[in-house]
Amino acid sequence: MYYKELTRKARNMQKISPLRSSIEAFNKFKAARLNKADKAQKTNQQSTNPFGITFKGTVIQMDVFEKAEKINENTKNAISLKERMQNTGKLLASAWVGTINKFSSLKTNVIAFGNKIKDSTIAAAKKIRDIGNTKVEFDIFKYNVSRLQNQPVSELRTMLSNELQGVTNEQ
Amino acid sequence: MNSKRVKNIIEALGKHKDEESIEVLNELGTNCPIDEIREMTSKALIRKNTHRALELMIVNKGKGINDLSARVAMCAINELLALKDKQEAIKILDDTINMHSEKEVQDTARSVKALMSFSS
Repeated sequence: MYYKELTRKARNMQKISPLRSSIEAFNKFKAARLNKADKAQKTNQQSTNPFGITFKGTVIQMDVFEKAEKINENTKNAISLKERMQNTGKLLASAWVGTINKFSSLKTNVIAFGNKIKDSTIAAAKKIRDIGNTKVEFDIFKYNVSRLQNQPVSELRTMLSNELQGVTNEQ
Repeated sequence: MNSKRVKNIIEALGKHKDEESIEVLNELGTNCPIDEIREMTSKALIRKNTHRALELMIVNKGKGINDLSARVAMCAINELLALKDKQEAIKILDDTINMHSEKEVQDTARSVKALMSFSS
């Protein structure tokens, strides 16, 4: 009888054991999470991050955030002038850095643009030089009556005979 | 042949102040086998309205008003009729009618003179 009782209990234990192990695992997880939360709270104590924004588990510390607690009129006066100056200085510095970055990028763009203009100007100058080297004669100006009129007759004779020779050869 | 070039050269020679230009036109222009060039040369020489130029166009057989091509001859006659000062041309025509050895040339000169007297 006693033996039977023992075997029944053992069977129940076997049934319960998976449930127990899962509870144990959950408890471990809970403890670890609490530990982690404590750590985060400790690191966050000195920062002014009101939303607890984290990046890969690390709390982002931003001095630019405003303080979480509301500042009453009484406490407002309590903030020292030095602190205010420090905050303003930080903001100004960050703004100044931003402006420097903007200017440096603008400077790079301006230099690139200037170089581009320089290259295109050099190319255009080369082209003009090439055109200048080639001798271009326009018939409109060469065979203009008023221009021909001022030329010596001997030259006109040569020109006319050349033109008429061409005619004779064509025929 | 670039007819525009030839036309411009002949026109320039016609307007040229040098007397040598008349000889160039006579040598190269009036002896050219192409009617168009002979026509242009006749016009240029008659427009000069000088004794030498008009003599070449009126007295010489086969040139100017005596050209074998009717078109060229008619063009020369028209140009003579269009002259503002016809005095020199009439004088040469009179000399040709009276003194030229060729009867054909005399007849042509007579006809042209008659036309000129009608037109003036």
